[in-house]
Amino acid sequence: MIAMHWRSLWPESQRLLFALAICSTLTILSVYFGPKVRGNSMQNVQTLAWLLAGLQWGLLVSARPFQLAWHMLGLRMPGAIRVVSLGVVANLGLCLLAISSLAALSEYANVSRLGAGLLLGWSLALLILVLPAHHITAAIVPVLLLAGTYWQAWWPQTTAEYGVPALVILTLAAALWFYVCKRRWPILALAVEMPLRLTVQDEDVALFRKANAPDLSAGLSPVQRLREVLAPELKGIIQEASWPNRLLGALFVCSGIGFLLWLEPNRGTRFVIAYGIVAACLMLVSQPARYLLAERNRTSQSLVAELCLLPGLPSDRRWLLGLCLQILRGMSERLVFLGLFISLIGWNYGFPTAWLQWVWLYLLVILSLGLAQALQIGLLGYTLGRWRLFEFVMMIVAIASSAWLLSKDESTSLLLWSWLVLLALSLAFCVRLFQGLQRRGAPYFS
Amino acid sequence: MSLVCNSDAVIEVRGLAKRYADHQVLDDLSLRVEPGSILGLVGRNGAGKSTLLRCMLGLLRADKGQAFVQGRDALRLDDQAKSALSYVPQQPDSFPWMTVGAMLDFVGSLYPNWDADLVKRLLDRWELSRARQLNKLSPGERQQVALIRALGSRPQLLVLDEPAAALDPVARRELLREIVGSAAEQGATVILSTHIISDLERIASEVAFLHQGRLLLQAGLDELKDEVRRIVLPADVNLPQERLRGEVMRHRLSDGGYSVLLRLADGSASLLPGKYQAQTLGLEDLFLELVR
Repeated sequence: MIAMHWRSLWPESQRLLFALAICSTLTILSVYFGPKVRGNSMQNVQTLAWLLAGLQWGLLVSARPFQLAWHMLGLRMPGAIRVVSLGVVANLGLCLLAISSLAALSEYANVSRLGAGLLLGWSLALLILVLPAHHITAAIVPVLLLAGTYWQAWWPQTTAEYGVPALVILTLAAALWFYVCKRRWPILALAVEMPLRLTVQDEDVALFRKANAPDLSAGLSPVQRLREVLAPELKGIIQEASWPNRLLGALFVCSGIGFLLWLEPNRGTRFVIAYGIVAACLMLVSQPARYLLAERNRTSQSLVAELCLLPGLPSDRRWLLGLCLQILRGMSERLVFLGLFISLIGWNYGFPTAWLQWVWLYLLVILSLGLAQALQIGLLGYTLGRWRLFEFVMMIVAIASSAWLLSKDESTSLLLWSWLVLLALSLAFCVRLFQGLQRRGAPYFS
Repeated sequence: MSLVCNSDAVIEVRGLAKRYADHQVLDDLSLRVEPGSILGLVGRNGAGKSTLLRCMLGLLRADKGQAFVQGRDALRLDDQAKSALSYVPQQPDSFPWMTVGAMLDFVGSLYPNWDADLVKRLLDRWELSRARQLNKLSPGERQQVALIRALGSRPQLLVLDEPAAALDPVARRELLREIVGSAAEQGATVILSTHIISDLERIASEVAFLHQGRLLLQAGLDELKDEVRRIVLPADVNLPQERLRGEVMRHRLSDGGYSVLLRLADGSASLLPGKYQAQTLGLEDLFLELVR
């Protein structure tokens, strides 16, 4: 069984030190300034200091055992009641220790009166913790009133006068607390959390919080963060590879092409080379779609969860635009490099200019079809089947076009215009898919 | 369609329905999760737990119904809402190309309340090296990393889909301790789906039973223990066709008798047919009774 641990009653060391520092400062100030104030005002200053010390201690430190009590008692964890009781006793014990220390420090201190002040502050803190969120001002008002009243130095001077309101407030807080634990009233549950958020977490951020995680994303725009979440499959070569890797890659491609050219010095199989290029280009079409499809079909859909739930990524429509731009960038980098090499090969083989023009048109068609395929398969849930058929037809058409252009030096403009129309159609298809997805809204993967 | 919901609930789901091909995974399911509670989702395989969690967080579009996270439409969560929630899927396999340290640093830099000390403590305790690549980790280790990452953001809402499935008993116990700690310290709301009912009995404050896409029962653990009773009636008892007061479910037994599950708000057994004794049920027995 999981048992509650004594250590869990205390906040982390920074917060504890902060609370202790405030208490110590207030005590020292009251000890130092108290005797400088004449008559009853001196005791009022000291009492005020202790009221505030009790208040801040209650909010910063005592909130924890009460939070635990609220959450843990209902869970029937072994030792919960014992540990929470110990926490309450330890809090009270610390108060007593503090009062006796102050009594030893200052000959003017009225111990019972200081104790009552501390109790009053602590009770007010508990009242703040227990009250519903929207009623929190109701608890702050008496604190402010008491503080103001002290400085006027006509606050009732007897211990009983401090003790009675303290006990009344404590009883009220205890009754409300009992109600919270018994009923587990959700509004009050929020109230229990709220003072911590107001007093502790904000201070944590402002005062103590170290540079916890290296701020890797500080200089990144939301779209760049989106890119970081995506796998290397959707990244461009420049985005993904370091300089040495890029150089090595270029060396590999150059040596491969050099080897091919060395194999056929007579340039006798230029058609075969052209077919190979067409087929190689087509392999790039489905890369983003295959990646997105694989992620969509994973049982965990962890990429979908990251894209939807990580803060700091582009929101909704900008998310879709960012993803499309990333797909386009990743693909276009590869296609541009490929196009450059093809042009060099074509120039080396003496391919006609029309063929080279067609290759660039073909690459643009592939780019737009790659995006369309990714949107349709990855985000709209279409299957690959129809696309495979389409890719096959595309390959036939592309090889036929390439062969036509290589075999004829004339009447090529009609073919080029046809490919231009195909490019326009594929671009229009992309835009239509994008607009459809935008209208549908997130999550784009379902 | 409403984008906000005026509700105190951390999660509210209204009339969710989701169908995959001819299989109705969620069927008009409504659910509320109150702040600070630890809700255990229990159901058989394919009961719709993961789909419910995904629809609940806006990761999956439901065919019908709506889900709200802290009053906001789950499909349109802003960064503030996202910062306050963490989700661990059943098979956490994000960022396989990164090392543990790089992933945690990257993710941590996106959360305002990232607790690097907690992350370090858990990495040390579970003996996970920051230098190891995520796709080289065992399934259990990946689940541990995912849990560290989820707890590190100090979420107000922690959603765990079968979090202990791949963990060894020691890690499982530590996970439960962290969940309880998280709930206690931050008042975090925790929703976890699991088959390990003994885990729920240790930490859950509330339990929801899912079966065939429907929510059969949702109640506090204490209430269930105090209020739900089973009576077994022999075949010669003439059980009326209409439901008994507080009746949750009835089953025909093989001998012709009935097993009737009753929820009695005041805990009294006075409404039960006279001579038949009401049996209290453990969570596991209750689950078996509900999904029989």
